[in-house]
Amino acid sequence: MRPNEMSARQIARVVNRGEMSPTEIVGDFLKKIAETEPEYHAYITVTQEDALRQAAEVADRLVKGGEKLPLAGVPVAVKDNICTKGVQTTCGSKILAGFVPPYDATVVAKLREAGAIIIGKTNMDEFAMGSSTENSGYFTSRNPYDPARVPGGSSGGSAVAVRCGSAAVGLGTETGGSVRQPAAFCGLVGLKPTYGRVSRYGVAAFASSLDQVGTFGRDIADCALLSSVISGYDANDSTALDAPVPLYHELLSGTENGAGTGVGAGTGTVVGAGVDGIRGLRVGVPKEYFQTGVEPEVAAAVRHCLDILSAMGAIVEETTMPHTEYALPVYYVIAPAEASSNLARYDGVRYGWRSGNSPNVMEMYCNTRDEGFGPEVKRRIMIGTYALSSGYYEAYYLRAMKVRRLIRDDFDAAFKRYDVLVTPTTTAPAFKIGELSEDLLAMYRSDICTATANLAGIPALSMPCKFVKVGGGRQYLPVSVQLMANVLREDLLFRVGYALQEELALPGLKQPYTHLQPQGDLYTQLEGRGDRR
Amino acid sequence: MTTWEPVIGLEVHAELATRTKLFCACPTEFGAEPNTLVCPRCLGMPGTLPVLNKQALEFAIRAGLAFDCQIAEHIVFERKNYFYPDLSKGYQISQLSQAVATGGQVNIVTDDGNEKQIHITQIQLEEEAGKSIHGGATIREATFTLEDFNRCGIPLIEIISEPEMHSVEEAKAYLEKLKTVLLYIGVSDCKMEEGSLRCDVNISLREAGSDRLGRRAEIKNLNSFRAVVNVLEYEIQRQTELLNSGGTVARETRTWDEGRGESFSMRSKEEAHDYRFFPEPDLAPVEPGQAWIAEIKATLPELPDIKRRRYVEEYGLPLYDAELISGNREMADFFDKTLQYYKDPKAISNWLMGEVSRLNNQAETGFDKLRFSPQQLGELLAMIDNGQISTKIAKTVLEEMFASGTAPASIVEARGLMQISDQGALETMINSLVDANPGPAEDYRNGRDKALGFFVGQIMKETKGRANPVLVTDLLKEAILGKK
Amino acid sequence: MGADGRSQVDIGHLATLARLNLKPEECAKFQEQIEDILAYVDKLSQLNVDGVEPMTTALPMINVFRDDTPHETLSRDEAMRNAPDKEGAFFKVPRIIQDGEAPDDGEGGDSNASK
Repeated sequence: MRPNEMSARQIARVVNRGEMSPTEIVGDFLKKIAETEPEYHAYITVTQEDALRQAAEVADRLVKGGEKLPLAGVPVAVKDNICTKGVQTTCGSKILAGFVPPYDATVVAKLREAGAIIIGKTNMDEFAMGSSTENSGYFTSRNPYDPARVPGGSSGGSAVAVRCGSAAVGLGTETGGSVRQPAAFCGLVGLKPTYGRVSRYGVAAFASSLDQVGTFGRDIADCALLSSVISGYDANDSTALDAPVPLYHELLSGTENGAGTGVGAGTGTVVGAGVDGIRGLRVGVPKEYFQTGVEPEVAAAVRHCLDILSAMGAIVEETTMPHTEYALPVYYVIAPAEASSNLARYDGVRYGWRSGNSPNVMEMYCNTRDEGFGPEVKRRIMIGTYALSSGYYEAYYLRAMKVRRLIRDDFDAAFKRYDVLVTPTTTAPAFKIGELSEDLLAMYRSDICTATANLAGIPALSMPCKFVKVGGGRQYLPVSVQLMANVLREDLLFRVGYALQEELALPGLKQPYTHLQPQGDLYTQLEGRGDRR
Repeated sequence: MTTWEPVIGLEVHAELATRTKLFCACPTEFGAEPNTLVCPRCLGMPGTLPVLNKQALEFAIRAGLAFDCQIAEHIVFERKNYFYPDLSKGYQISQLSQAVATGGQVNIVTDDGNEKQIHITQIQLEEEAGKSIHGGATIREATFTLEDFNRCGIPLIEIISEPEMHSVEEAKAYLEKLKTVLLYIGVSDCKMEEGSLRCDVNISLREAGSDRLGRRAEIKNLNSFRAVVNVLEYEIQRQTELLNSGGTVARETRTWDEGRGESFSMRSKEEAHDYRFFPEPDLAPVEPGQAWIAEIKATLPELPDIKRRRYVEEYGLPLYDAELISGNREMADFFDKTLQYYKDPKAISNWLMGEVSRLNNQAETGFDKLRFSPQQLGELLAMIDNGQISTKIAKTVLEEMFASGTAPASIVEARGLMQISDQGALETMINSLVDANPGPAEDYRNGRDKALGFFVGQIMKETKGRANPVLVTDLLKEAILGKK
Repeated sequence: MGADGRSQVDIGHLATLARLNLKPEECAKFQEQIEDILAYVDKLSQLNVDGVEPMTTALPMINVFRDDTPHETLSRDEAMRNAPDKEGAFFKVPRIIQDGEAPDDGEGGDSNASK
């Protein structure tokens, strides 16, 4: 098995045991990058030399320290809005072309500490504003299941890298679904943690009260492992929660390698539970999420998951969350409003792009920002500026913050009755490149099932639950189910997700996949096993 | 012709005396090499986040308490959005509707000797911008601008007054009092020359007796009391002339050119500012709680107003003395301590306001750096009372105490300055002097009192000033008038 | 907001506030799109939000402080490595005043000329 086909746990295990060197691992991934990048375009920057240097350092630490590292030698794809010291960080924007941060984001520092290798910085919609990577200032990434389709966004590049196997796991960021939606489109597990669970220090802000770093893995355990590593208190982020971090992956007993990194118990609390933890689980199914234009096949796939949970002893009930329909309007006021302020710093004074030969500062600002920002970013800055401006603040921003409270109240009420809520992640599988780019509101509506969790600050996980046939031919695309839990209950999401994953047993998900790969011919696998469900 | 009355409000920005900046831990020292006291936060780099300096908040609360303000139960920071090259994030983290402190007042003494309260609207905690240096003689002639972000992020309190001052003198008294209190409570060094204290002025005119406010002009960023006085005098005249000639005052921001001694409009077009305030999502709100507020309150020193009242009521000092001494914390501390060793407040007050201040001014130093102690000053004054030295000698002794910190008794001893009150020795001296000068003696006997001064002067000269002047006078009279 | 729930948006003013130098065709397009979006979010006005406390932070939080202890600063080289233009120890920008106009903006800015 090539290293790029292994799970992050497997890589950490073989590296910690000394069976493979981090350099060998990185070498294979760099080769994989060379194979897949021309087709799928996951990375804005591949840190080839730096990755090899990091690999040597990790090898050194393992020899000298004799320590076991939870992500020893694991190549991680990092979204390009997360600052990496000495490595260009563009946020997918021309305005930050060539910007080299003098510091590491806290999550990056935690990755390095855990022995991970930052192998590259991934493509994204500019400043995380978009659902397809079509708004990248550089290029559009391609969906590994069908390069004519988008990988989702905004963290599309990381999703593509993990699906292709040009990284073992990946970091994305979430504001309204930017990890879960590309996870769904690329057949990955994606987590948006509780607001404050993961430090935002070093993560270029889009909408401060919504942003959170999320994780991608090809299975639940990898996503859990990566989440454990990056979570936790940070004195550099006033909004970071000071709460113990469970070793999420160790909660997944019964797995071939639930605790398979070879690393002993750490700081976390382990609430032991396995597949049996589903018995008695109270599952709420908010009906509003099924009234959003969800395609019947997607709804059916989610209902199938509910049947599985039911069969495992969960108590499944339909419920109502009456303010769900207001989530997107709230989101499309709050996110642009905060963004309009957060993006004011890109002014050409201290770093980044500056338009040449402006006679005065005013013109320098206006030209720099006009040339540096793409249309979607400008549009949102304008909307946000409007929503905060004198005479409109009360009608838009203040009102949106109030409705946000009502949405949060819906969740509070729901979590009094249910442990987890189950919904679709997206209304449909990956759309075609260009399909929605002219229909702004349709594009905005792709966050319809996901933005609520960001508004409420709760954790939510997306995981593939079915492959659906598209176009009547041999082509299959993944669709996903979303699990939501109360604040700091990521553990529940992983446990339930794990149970579902094992029961669903969808083929090919744990290995890298590209549509060109003969051995990964999804059609053969899916057709071969028949449509027994 | 209409009589116009000025209506003045002041916004004073005081840099807080913290070691580090408001939202990052960069040092706040003054005068470092440009762009060396910066971190990614000061430079507004992507991904940076603010974390509140607790000491800065405590200083802001302390200031609020010193001015009798209400400390808010729930304090919120807000973003004030505007573009300026020395503002690294494109917004300033400031406060608006839920500031640290509201209400309260500054007590001033007006020219006619009455006390007046100027009310404070609110005190808000916010961050400094960086420093822009314009490449040209003035901002208008500059062809480029240079930016130094060392100052960016230093904590400020902005103290906003109600528009309740009606003369230049009141505005000046308000500023002086504000500075005194800030220095008293140790929250700011108030060094105007380093920009630690700056002032925005807004001024309008209204018909005397009317309570309708006129349209006001705002003049920003004045960094000396002198400039505030000049601006106000200039604006009162400018606006008076405008109104008297039937014109109107534009509601605008003006800038002050100290060199030319005039203000000019900062914007030609009426581009209204829209700061788009909204609650800072990167910072948690603050609820200081009664216990912490009480703790801070307990550490406040006796404030100048209370001190002044005490000096007048308990010690019977004249209001002038009380105001002057209480207006300088170090001087007041010295006064209070001296009183523990010497019981005549007025005598202490005279010496502190007189000789000691004179020596301080000469040496460009202050009461906190005096080499002699309050106890030593008390000893010196007691020596005068005991007749051990004359007032004149005491001044000489003080000079040496000031220079070396030596105890007054040691100086008097070492330099032989003890007053001569030995009647026998003085009589011998006087008798021979009177004998040698029959002319002046005769004059005195003939009623020319001034002639006595001649003899006193001669004795003092002979004794190097040490002769007890009262005794000398008595003995002289006896010697001259007794010799018929 | 108009009676039809559509807002009249002054794109030029917004662009100035946001420091964006939009081309005329961009303005026209944005005008339409932004009005569409505002019409969409106008759904919020249907709700009665009287007495609802605005949710300003994602989770309840209070009193997060740090001590007044200095940390390491960046070296000037690190601080200025990304500077688009510099002169000596300073970041350099064009003049602040536009031709024939007074300074545009000076709030909090240091408008003292170097002497």
